[in-house]
Amino acid sequence: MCACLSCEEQMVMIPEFPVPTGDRVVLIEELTGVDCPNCPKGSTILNNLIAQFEGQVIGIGIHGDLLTTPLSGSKYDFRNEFSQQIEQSFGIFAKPCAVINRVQFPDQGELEIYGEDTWLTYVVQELEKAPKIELSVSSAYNSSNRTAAIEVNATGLENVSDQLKLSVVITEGNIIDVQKDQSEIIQEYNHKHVLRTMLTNWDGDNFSSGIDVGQTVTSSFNFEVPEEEGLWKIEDLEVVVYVTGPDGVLQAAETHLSE
Amino acid sequence: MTFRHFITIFCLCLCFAIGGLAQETGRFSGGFQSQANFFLRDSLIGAAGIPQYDRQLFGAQGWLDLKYSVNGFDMGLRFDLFNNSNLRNPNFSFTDQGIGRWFISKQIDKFSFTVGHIYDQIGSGIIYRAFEERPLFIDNALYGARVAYDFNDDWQAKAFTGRQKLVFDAYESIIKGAAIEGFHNFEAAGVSIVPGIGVVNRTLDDQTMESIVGILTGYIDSERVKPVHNVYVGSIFNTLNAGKFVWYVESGVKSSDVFNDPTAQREVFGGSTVTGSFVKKPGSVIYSSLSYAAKGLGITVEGKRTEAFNLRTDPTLLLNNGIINFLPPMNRQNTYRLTTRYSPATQDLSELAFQGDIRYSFNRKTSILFNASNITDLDGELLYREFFTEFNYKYKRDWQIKTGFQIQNYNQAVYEVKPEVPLVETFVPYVDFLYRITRKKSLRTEIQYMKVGPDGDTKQDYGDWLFAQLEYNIVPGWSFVASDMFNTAPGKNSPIDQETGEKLSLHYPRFDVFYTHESNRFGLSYVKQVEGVVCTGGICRLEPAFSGVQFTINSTF
Repeated sequence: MCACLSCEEQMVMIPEFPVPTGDRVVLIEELTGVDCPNCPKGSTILNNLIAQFEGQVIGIGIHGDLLTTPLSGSKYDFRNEFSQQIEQSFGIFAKPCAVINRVQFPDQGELEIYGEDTWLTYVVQELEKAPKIELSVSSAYNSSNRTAAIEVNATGLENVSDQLKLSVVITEGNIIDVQKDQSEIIQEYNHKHVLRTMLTNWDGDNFSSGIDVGQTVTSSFNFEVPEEEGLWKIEDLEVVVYVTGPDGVLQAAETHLSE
Repeated sequence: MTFRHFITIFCLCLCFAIGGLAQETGRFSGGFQSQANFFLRDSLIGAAGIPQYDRQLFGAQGWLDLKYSVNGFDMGLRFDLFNNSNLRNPNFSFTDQGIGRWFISKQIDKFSFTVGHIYDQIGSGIIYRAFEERPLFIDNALYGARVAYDFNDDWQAKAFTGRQKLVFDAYESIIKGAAIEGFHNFEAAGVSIVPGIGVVNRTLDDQTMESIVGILTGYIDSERVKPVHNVYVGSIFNTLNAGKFVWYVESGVKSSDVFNDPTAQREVFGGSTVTGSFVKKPGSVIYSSLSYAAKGLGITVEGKRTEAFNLRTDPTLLLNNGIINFLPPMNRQNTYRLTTRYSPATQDLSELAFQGDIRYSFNRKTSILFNASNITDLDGELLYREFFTEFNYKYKRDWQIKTGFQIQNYNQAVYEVKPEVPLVETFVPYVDFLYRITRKKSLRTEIQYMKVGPDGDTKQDYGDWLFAQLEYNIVPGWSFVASDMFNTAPGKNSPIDQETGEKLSLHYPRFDVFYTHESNRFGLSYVKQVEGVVCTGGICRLEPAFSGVQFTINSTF
């Protein structure tokens, strides 16, 4: 047996990719823009998180103010009053960044998290939390009048006494349009989960003044999909719902508009 | 009582106590600097969309520096204030105030120590430089302790440890280092040397390491690297003085470390690729300058090669945050408005740069200057090239003229991360004419024109510019300045008239009044400023357009 002296540091081991075990669904609000050359990387990271944590991560692409002015070759303008108000409420100063479950993490000075490579860490932290409510959303689409009947159900898993708000967002994916990248302007970029409109206020509607274990709160919405003009393609529309309390998003859910 | 209040009271008590006990009279000195901005929204030039323009309307920042020396003690305290300030981030509003710096140092025979916030550097700063650059919101002071020992008048050793300052706090990683610097004169040979050697170590804290591990957890196996807590950098340097020649050389090396390479390609889950990845590599820098000075003639040539020399207190930090070292710039540090419009930031991952400078004075009246620089990355891609000339002529004390031109190639895609932009080509002739009306009154004019290259059927970037400035000085005290920067031929990025779709030729006027009384200087300015890169000593950042009124105070006592 020998005693060995060494000033060489012990190597840090990188753990395997985490596999969540709970039912928590995490909402990532990605602050992005067509005029933002670093944003395609952020979107790729977000899409990876959605794929890697299938069914447990929901993304919304917020095209608010910063770097969102359509480019000279743009077919569409993704900005709308909801995305602008949400972005302004975060007070961001660069893109891409993401707000994860609207939680301000202890090592972050703001809600938004810059450095897309770090998003995974915070997503994992949120996935490890047990959900306080169970949330589901269903959509019954009537093609004859392009109207969807949307129903949201929340059931308490813990007693929550805070005022809860519900947000209902319509997102659209598979929108092919130009996007600035670091080295080029991508002519046929696939924009995913773009916030198109909301069926509630931008910061949510009052949903319930608290919820008890086993109590179910329901809310219904009708949404008439605007005429399809390149955008508003029924098959690419998603309904995203989330319930917020004072400490952020309690739970999120999504479904195709035409289930 | 907060820690900040404690420090304040502690320092003040110490000042009074030592002052009261002093056998000798102490010396108080200091300075006050402040800038107040009144924001006037102008969405046409892009001065809009941040809180200051939309609702706050006013922002300010200020610094009060106090220094006191007595009985071999030096101590200082600085109060920093930021109220709705756009200095930390030009697109954001920042408010905070407190003790920005304090320090106490004492010389005891050949030994000295300093504690608090310490500014210092090793060699030219390639491996370590703790400094402050207020216009760029850089304050990299080491919050810790430094000891030094003078072996004799020529040789000194120093060591330090601490954490890098973060506004009113400090980063968690620990920085420590040591250096020996000296001087030796070979009298017989007429040669002297100023050699030195230094080492610096940075140890990551557990939380920062967790953050890096969290990032790397998301990488697929083939892209993962193993991070280390400790990075070591070392440099050896020397200045050789031999007659009319001065030769400086410094070589720095860095141990293998994880850092963010924004150009690295990385495969991600699902098979797609992203640009920008954490990589692990060792780094190196070699820098040298050779100067020759004879009667009327001065020649300087410089060269620098940089590879993977990103050195930060936390590798996840971006932009100018948390930088431990300083890489000297390799282009001329210009001063005129249009000759500074495209300035290259020093590249820490891949750069090969050369610069030459020749000055010749024919007599006391007439002199000329030529400067040329060429910067590429290590793969040979041109980043920046400049050729600059200046002709200077003085006629008695009556008038003086400086004139010349600048030719530039500027890789905007790299320096400003703008895709599909061509290498910006500029040609800038300029004239600077000073006329003394009387012994107390003078008039100075500057006229510059920037012609840029074509970009398809339009001009590159913002196109061509004309800048003119008129400055009227009355000694002592007053200075009145009026200038305008006019977009004579708008370019691809110039603002567009929403109704006609035409590119707009905009004026960016500026009016200043400065009043100087003894060591106090006051300025009131109306400013409309186009977006551009602002650089100080090779460190740059992209500044958005500004529109508003500024009031400045600079005072020393």
